[in-house]
Amino acid sequence: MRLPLPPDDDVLLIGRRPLRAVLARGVADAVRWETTVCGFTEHPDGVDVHLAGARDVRVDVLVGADGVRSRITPALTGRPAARPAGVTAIAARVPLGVPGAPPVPGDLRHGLAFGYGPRGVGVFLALHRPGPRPAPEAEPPYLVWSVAAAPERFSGDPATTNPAGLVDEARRLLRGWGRGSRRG
Amino acid sequence: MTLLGDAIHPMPPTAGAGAGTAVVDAVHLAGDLAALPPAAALRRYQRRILGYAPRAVAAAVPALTWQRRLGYPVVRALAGAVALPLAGVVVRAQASRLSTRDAKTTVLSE
Ligand SMILES: Cc1cc2nc3c(=O)[nH]c(=O)nc-3n(C[C@H](O)[C@H](O)[C@H](O)COP(=O)(O)OP(=O)(O)OC[C@H]3O[C@@H](n4cnc5c(N)ncnc54)[C@H](O)[C@@H]3O)c2cc1C
Ligand SMILES: Cc1cc2nc3c(=O)[nH]c(=O)nc-3n(C[C@H](O)[C@H](O)[C@H](O)COP(=O)(O)OP(=O)(O)OC[C@H]3O[C@@H](n4cnc5c(N)ncnc54)[C@H](O)[C@@H]3O)c2cc1C
Repeated sequence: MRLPLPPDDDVLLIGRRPLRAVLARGVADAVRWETTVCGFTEHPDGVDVHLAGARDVRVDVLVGADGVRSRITPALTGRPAARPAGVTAIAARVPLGVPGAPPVPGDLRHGLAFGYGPRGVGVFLALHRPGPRPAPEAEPPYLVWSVAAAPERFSGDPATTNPAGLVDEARRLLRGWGRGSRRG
Repeated sequence: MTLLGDAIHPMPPTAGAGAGTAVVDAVHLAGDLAALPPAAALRRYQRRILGYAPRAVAAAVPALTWQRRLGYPVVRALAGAVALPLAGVVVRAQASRLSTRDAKTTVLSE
């Protein structure tokens, strides 16, 4: 299955960690790590932001950028930011270019891969390779794999399963899959 | 007050566009805040989001729907049920809040 990409464009991938590091360039001093926003008070000319275990901060504008589990969104709209999509996934990254690294399907050099199998089990693969002139934030090459299925196909709760158990679960979900790939 | 990224348009990972759309939001918001007083900037930013975020979310939905369809004998969930963007809701909520002059404290629930 093809992702909705313009046909002639290069696909450029960046890992989450390097992306965060690049976005933090030049503003690292302004970021307060490990600080939880627990509430806010709106005034006509600004917002007091209440922090857990720290003093309030007065700002002109408060931007809730707190993700799918946003606590700001329900406070503002009365609705949760997101609902479960009905698909649960296990994802992992495998270092490449080290002893014991797996062979990588050649197609992955041209972009990401989604695969669908019986019982609604899906597979996602992405290859991360630093370009010819890697930024200082770039990570060594790795492969991301993910196995996704409806929550009831899992034998346990992935959120409380240890890494070895997650690998076993992924193997179980993929039982009967062949080694090759076919383009759809 | 306003929202940005997944907090306003939760993205299924299937189009690989969630992080990019969040960055686009941030660029627009920064530009609008630099050009206009806060209240006007937020109104313009939120109207902009309505122009692209629903399309970006819609592009990610088919792969997810297909996966679920293969998993169930009956299609029990339609694409629209996944995670419709909240952008429109926020614009309306914001419009009513901007007219409130009194200080109001909100405690965030877990
Ligand atoms: C269906 C599906 C589709 C996917 N599609 C893609 C894809 O298209 N491309 C792709 O690359 N990956 C994709 N992935 C994989 C996924 O996005 C991550 O690559 C994977 O979760 C591995 O991330 P990580 O180990 O870097 O940990 P992360 O999940 O990135 O981070 C681990 C923790 O560290 C925190 N953290 C990270 N960096 C910082 C920082 N600088 N400061 C403070 N905290 C930080 C994070 O908040 C997080 O809590 C997909 C996965 C699935 C299941
Ligand atoms: C498995 C998976 C794979 C994905 N793959 C891709 C992909 O390949 N490409 C892509 O573009 N997108 C992908 N996405 C989507 C992408 O991760 C999101 O769209 C993107 O991270 C949204 O960014 P955000 O800044 O809005 O929210 P987030 O990245 O979720 O950041 C929210 C931040 O707010 C912080 N926070 C939350 N509550 C509070 C609080 N009360 N106080 C203080 N801080 C708080 C959190 O710690 C977090 O750091 C994937 C998502 C998943 C789950």
